[in-house]
Amino acid sequence: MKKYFSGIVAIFLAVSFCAFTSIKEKPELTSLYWFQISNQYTPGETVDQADATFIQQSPTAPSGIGCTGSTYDCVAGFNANQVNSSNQLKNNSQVPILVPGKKN
Amino acid sequence: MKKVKKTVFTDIISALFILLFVYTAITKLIGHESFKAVLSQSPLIGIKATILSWLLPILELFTATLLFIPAMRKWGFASSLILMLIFTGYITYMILFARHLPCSCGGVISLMTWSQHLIFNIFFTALAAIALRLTLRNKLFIAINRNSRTPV
Repeated sequence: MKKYFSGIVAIFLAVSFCAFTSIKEKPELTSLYWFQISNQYTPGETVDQADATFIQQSPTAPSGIGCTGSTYDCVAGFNANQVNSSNQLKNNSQVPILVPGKKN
Repeated sequence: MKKVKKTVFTDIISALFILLFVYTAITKLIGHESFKAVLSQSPLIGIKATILSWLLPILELFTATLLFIPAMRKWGFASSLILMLIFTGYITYMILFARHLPCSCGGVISLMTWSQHLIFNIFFTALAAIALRLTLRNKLFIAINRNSRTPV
């Protein structure tokens, strides 16, 4: 029992600290506009309006279709100021903020 | 360092890691949706966020369990070292390429800036490496002593 003493104290402290930690269930994240990208764009490149199909607006990235690779943009997130009122990219010179899904 | 001192030192380090891993794992599990959302915005993780949001706290709890059992402590320190190296690598990447994003860490650790978090992680990585080395040396010391015993 003596061998486990420090471990038991540590677990007790950890659980106690958790009880006093306020955890935000709603994340304070920027809601991005997520697009499925067709054609081959590497991260950091501008995406043509015609190659971006709107999926959703959310703080969490959608899974997209066929995003199983690692080279080209597949699912990309854009800020509100890069998207027009019809949920399309404003023009052909918008660079994704985030590219969580890639394809080969 | 004498063997007793080494044992006390590794006991303290293992308790620190148990505290760290149990605390962060529980806070990640309680605020799971929040944790998953932050992970999903990371350029390195993205759509793998759902799997990782469950895998990370499970790995942390598993490591804490290994550290809790004295016979498995060596593996616990090895696992802690691997986890801390991965976390430190991730933080370095975030500092270099996505500093604007929030940290996907558990509990009060998420209040740290990226740079503070990097220092914190380097400290714990060093602790894990020292503890692993001491544990392996202790085992070797016991093994040598056992082999050198002569039957009466």
